[in-house]
Amino acid sequence: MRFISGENIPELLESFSAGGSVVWAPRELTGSGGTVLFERWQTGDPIDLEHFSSLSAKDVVLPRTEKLFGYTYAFGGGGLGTSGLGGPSVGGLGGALGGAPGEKLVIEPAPPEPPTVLFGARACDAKALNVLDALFNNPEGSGYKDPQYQSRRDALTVITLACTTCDEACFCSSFGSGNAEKAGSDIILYPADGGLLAEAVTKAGEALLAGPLFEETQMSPPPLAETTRIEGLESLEKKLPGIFDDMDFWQRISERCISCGFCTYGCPTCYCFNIHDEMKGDREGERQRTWDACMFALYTQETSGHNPRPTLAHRYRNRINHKFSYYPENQGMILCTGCGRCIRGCPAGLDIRDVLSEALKESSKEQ
Amino acid sequence: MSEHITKIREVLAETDMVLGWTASGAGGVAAPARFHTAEEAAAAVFDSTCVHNLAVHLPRLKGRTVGIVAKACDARSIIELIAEREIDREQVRIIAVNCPAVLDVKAIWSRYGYGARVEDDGSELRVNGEMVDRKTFVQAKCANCTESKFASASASERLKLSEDFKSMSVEERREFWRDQYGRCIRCHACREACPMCYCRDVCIMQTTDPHWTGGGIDAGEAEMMQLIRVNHLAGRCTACGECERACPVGIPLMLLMEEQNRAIKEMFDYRAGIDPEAKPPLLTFDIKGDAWGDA
Amino acid sequence: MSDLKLIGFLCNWCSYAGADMAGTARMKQPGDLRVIRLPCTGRVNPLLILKAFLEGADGVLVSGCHPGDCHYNVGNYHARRRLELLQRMLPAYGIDAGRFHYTWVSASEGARWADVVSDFTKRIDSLGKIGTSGSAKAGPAVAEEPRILES
Repeated sequence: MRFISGENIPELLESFSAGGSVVWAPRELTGSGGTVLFERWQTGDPIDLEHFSSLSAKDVVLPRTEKLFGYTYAFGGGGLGTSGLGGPSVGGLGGALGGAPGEKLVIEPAPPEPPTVLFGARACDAKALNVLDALFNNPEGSGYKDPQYQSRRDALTVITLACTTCDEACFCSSFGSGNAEKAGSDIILYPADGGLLAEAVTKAGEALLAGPLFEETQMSPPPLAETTRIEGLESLEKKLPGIFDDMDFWQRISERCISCGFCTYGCPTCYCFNIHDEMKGDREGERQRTWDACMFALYTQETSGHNPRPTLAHRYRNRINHKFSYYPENQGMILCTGCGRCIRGCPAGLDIRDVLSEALKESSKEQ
Repeated sequence: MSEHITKIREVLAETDMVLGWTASGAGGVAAPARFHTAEEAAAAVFDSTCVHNLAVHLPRLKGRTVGIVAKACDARSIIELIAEREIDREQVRIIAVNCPAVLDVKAIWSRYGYGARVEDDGSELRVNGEMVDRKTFVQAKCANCTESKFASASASERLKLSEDFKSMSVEERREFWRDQYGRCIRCHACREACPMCYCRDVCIMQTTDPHWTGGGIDAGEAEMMQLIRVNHLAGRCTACGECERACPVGIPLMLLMEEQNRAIKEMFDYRAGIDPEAKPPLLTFDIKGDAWGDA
Repeated sequence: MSDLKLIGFLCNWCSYAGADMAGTARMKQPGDLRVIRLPCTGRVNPLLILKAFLEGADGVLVSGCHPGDCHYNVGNYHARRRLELLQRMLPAYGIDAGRFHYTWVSASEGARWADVVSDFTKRIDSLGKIGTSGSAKAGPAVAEEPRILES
């Protein structure tokens, strides 16, 4: 076990910044009524390791808004190709882009991601990275890796704070080893007298702990908090399809929801996104990826006007099924780590655990 | 409480459902519920943890007759919806309640942990059995209640922010909003929680045509989104405070709504949600009376 | 003065014609105002003005027909309410209320238009670029004091 004293923590983060890394750490935002968020840390910023953040840390791998690339229709020599691609009325690239002869499309890729250190994540946040990896990094051996996600993931060091306290919204022990989960972290920190104990999980973590701010110690880590455990969630994968068509059930269960979208935005494993082009003037723009949420009315709105998930009940059904049935079936993991953010933040008091218990009951009835 | 249940059952006899609360939230706090039968209504409660504005569900329940348990602030939203012809007066039955001023449950749980047991008898507030200062946790909005009962009921920190904001210079306010809107993540919880925001899937905060603001949160996009909301609520906001309560990153959205409501009162002597026959001031004009600026 | 970004929303029937008259009569006025022509001030969505400020406009001017003379009868009556409300709200958003001005200039008031533009440009010049609004520059008194709302 290594140990770092509390007063050296800012210096530790400073050493990461000095080494060229971007550091993310949780802090309470001034004038926000006590909201704690993961934010980019700069020298002098406070760090809050006591409270649970309102939003997850998934911004470090999947930002709320990211620029995929910029593009400009520029006039340059040569045009888009040889004859046949000239005027706007001709088929092919020239016609499709509606460009004038001699116009080129210039793509400016997004700059590479700097190395990043995520400090003060919780086990549920770290585990969520593994859960997202199952989709974004070579899902089902397809060989596909989401390039932006991957470049962030490869450059990320995760320093997790083990939970010795929890609140009533936490239910991480319903999934795998709960808050004892080490996979996904490079270092685990434990609160201790006067500072933090540190345990390396990966080689990268070991290298960091060899630094001068850490000293060897014989202290043993404190016990972890015991969180609520809901039994049988793995069985939902096969059971949920049985109640798929029971709209009365889904209607009843989502009654108090106001479709605000906070649960999806705060969730460390929700990943649905939009890709859209934002023009600046008529010759330049950028392609952006932004978070979407199945709770939004426009989630599956089609250009024709048809919406296969027209009501809130349909979308709520999708949320539960995606997390507890489709993702386990396709990616082999439940798309939830029991962090409880959706429960704490829901303005309408909807608790996903009640929904899951009801779904277990209802779907067991059907059989 | 049984009087409350009886009232709900009476209304249920002539409506498809009644919107109200049960004590089914964590720590025994109230959570919104719908009662379809007299049996279901047996679980109805009303207390100071009934913070939600249930009027937000009304535009989604068109075509049904709906009873709704409403605090004074909620009733204003219902009346404004009727004034705007969004809902039909004939389809709503308001069940008025004697509100003791609602608590800021989020603040209580932020201090004492999520799910802490909240017991309030109107004068004494206990959290997990221990007595705490009730005034600190009464919602700031109650200080401006049209019932005028609660002017001094709240000593919430949020009231201080309203005062500080009034005395900020223009420069300071610009910095303040840049800071605040800088953390908006465009989850649209403010819009969804607002009973007056019923444009939902055609809301111009997210249309591609007209494209007032892009999809992201950089370069002032979130600020433009918030300005759209403030401007579209001119003369319509009933000050229920749900937008601010729903915001997951704690932006004090009501500050601008308060300023705007004051300006509307000053200019037109009008408050939204008081008179169902009233014509909202920004939908009309007074040729002689509107004599501001150069005439 | 020439790096000031001033936007003017002018109604087609009165103010645009009035501005045109000022131009053909070669009346002297600063050239910083960029004019956007609309059919009527009733078309002015307050959000257009706010978007202009967010995009970096240092000042926004709206000018239409005199109340009672609107080409569409009632457009400017609606505009009057919206723009007055916006004027009062600007300090709350953190924008100096002096940066926005709405007025009524008829098609025959070319000379007056030149004065309106000169006064407005002078006022914005003393307020400075919007990035350094108000307090950064101690200039001469502005035509209208920015109002802080009282309850």
